[in-house]
Amino acid sequence: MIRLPSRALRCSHLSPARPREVAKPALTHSLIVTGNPNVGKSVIFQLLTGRYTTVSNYPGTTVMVSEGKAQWDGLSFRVFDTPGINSLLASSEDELVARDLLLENPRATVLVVADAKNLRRALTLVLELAETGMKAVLNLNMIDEARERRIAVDQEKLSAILGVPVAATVATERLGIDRLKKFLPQARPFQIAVRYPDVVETALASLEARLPRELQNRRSLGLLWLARDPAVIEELSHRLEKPVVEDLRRIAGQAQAQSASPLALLITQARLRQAQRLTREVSSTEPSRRRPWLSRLGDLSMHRIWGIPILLAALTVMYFLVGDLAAQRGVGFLEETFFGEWIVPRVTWLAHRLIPFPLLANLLVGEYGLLTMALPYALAIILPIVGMFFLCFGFMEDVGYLPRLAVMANRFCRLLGLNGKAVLPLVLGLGCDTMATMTARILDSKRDRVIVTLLLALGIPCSAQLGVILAMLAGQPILSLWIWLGVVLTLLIVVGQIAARVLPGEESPFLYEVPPLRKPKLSNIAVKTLGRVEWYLKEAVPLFFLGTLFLFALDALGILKVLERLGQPLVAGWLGLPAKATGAFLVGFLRRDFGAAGLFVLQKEGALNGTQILVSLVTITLFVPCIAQYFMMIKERGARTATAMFVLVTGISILVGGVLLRVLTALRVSL
Amino acid sequence: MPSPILSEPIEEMLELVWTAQEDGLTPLDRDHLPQQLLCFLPHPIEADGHQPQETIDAMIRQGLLSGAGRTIELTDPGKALAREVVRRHRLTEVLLRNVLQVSEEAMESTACQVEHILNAEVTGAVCAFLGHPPTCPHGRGIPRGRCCEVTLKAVEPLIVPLAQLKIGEEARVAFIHTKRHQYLKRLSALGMAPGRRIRLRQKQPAVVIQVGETELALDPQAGQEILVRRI
Repeated sequence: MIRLPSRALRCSHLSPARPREVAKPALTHSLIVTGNPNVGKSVIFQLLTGRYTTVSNYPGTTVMVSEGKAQWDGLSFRVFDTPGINSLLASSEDELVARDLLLENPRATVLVVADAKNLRRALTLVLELAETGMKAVLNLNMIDEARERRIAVDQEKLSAILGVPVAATVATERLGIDRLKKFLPQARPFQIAVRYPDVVETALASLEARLPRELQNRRSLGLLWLARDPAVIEELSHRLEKPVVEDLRRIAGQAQAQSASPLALLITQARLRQAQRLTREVSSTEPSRRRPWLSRLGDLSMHRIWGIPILLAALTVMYFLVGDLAAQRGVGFLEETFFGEWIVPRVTWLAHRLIPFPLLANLLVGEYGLLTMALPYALAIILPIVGMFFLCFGFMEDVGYLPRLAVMANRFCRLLGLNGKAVLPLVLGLGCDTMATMTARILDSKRDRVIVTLLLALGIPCSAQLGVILAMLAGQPILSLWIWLGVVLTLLIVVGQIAARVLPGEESPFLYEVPPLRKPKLSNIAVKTLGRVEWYLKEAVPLFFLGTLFLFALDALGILKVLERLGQPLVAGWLGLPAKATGAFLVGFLRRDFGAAGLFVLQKEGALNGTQILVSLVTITLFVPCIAQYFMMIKERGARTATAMFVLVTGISILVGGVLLRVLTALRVSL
Repeated sequence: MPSPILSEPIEEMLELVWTAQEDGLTPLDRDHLPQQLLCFLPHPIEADGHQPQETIDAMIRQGLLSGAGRTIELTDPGKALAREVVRRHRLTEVLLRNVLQVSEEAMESTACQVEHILNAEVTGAVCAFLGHPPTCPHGRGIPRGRCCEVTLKAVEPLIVPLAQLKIGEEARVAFIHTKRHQYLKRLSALGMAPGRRIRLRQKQPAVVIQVGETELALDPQAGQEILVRRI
């Protein structure tokens, strides 16, 4: 067979910055896990490969392809976990990644994961995948939830009709996985085809006849062409001979002229109808009047009135756990007692005794020492805060609260020039702005992705930074908290509104799938939190060491003094902060929380008064994205856009900080 | 009195006088008819070789118009007939414009032809299908038919925007009327298509519907764009 060239169907011309996470899979023994969003593909992937990927209860957790290896029955497979799709006719970036992988590897086996209680939707996708001619196994996952809702599926009949093995599982409980594994080597092409309206079938036959015979998925490509999929049309036009392309265009044009409604709609509706018939044939539902209490709670949590106390309750619990328990008690013990009283005095004593060179001793235990600054910052100040935050966040992800938050925040998001779906990356930004920048892929329009990236860089503090900020504000009058929140929110709205007006393109419509509220699965939350803490330790701690080393070098070479003097007009003159704060802002370039931690220490030393604390916090909140986020911005949005945002955000933060100071002084607000 | 013999020119004239009456132009001067209100140009009255004056004389003879000197007005039987013609015309306009989305020109010309051939039963069905709309696309009132009165008293209109359902109410998607093609594509990929049974779960802060076991959150605009038939 001819494979499409390496660029094939990878619509790189549409989004030049789109990264390629995986190498091209081999032609055989590749297994692509696919299915509708939020059906448990990642759990299945984990069970097959033993490789951990993030699992949550909302559509859009997986935004890129992960690869793992698996072996069974003597065959070794390369397994790919993909973002969920509802159709090969993709519209957002994460869906495009998944569908490209499917179209580029027609020889791979697909494992279609279906939500058993949502069979109709799954079968709509199955009918479309059948057209690729790929070998497949169908997995009816969450069969327990289907049973709870009294939905019965005749698996044997389904298997007979589709012509592929069908295996039911409850993936989170590991039920049915062995049977699924046994079925995988028996994968076969689907034996079912949708009968489209005559106008489509006639045109499709002509298109298929003109496409190269070697293409196994001619039927899929033909239908995507008729549905006017821009990427497929562009790619095939690029690849096929000119007269052939002309023919394809002519056939599609004539077919469209004969039909009153768009062909894409005719095609989708034919599939929907057939999926509906098929669903009725193989499944039956006993009506049950009673709605489970979880489902009712789910409704309440996005109710226009009840949703608000639920949100406030969630925030209060989080504030207590993160702001009080972790940031006050946890940090207090670790920083003051553990490091401050036990570790630091002893290593300092030891270092000065054992190391004859004062410079070297200072490197370890001096003012900018690796053991006295980097280690306590990373492990005593930040770790307890982010650890607790990750735990809370993991819990909310697991039960499915975040999408409900998106529904609740739809109004607020419109203020930002976005729709509610954008809440998801913005809220995820409170966890980690770097990952959230990548999650912007679930948004439908480029315009929205740019706005979200900008807002994340500007005013969404990440968990670590937020924890430190809240810890600092906790010791201040409550007015400080409100001013901080007011300034940051106002700025988000102003910048969002301006960006929404300036950027070309329409606001993308709000269409978001809300998953059912589920009981939290503690093991998943624990694994996820530990995974994130591990990631934090691997990614952040080295940067803390690097930053400290950098400061130490600047200090030892006397450059820090020079910089502090140079920064004097800005830091001391414009922002009204002590010169020592320059160091905090310098390391803020490396990590947001590092900068905040520097301020935290200054506050503890009593070097900042109330106004200075507020001004410095507002400035550091809005200050540059951390280095990892900056690289992610370059990767997702391109170097020019990323750098422009970087400069803009730095400018805004310093400007706003200084203006705030002057306003506070003029109004004689004492904090 | 024998029932009047209706022809296209007579129906056109009935419609013209009715519309003029709405605009406060009656009684009309039969020598200076408000040409701008003529249904469709080139006008069938002339096209049929009927002079407007001949048509008017015939209508006075049949008791549809009352003529005093050069001025004319609708009689009560004339009003009753005019009402039906106008109703058919304007309902057709709504159907063509709002549901089938044809151009304004095509809407005008087609409505002018269709108004003459619809019978009472079809008119009633169209009216019910459209949800007994009160006005035509130009904003003129659509005279109420018997079906509207019965329906308005007994039950709500058959086809309504999704947002008008009560929370918890079930309905079937009748059609989705949106210019946002991408949105339509996504909706149908999620299983939202004509004929699909849905349940409205909430309206604020976002519209949430249940399609099968899937819950979808939509923007308020979609609440107007998705038209449903109550069950």
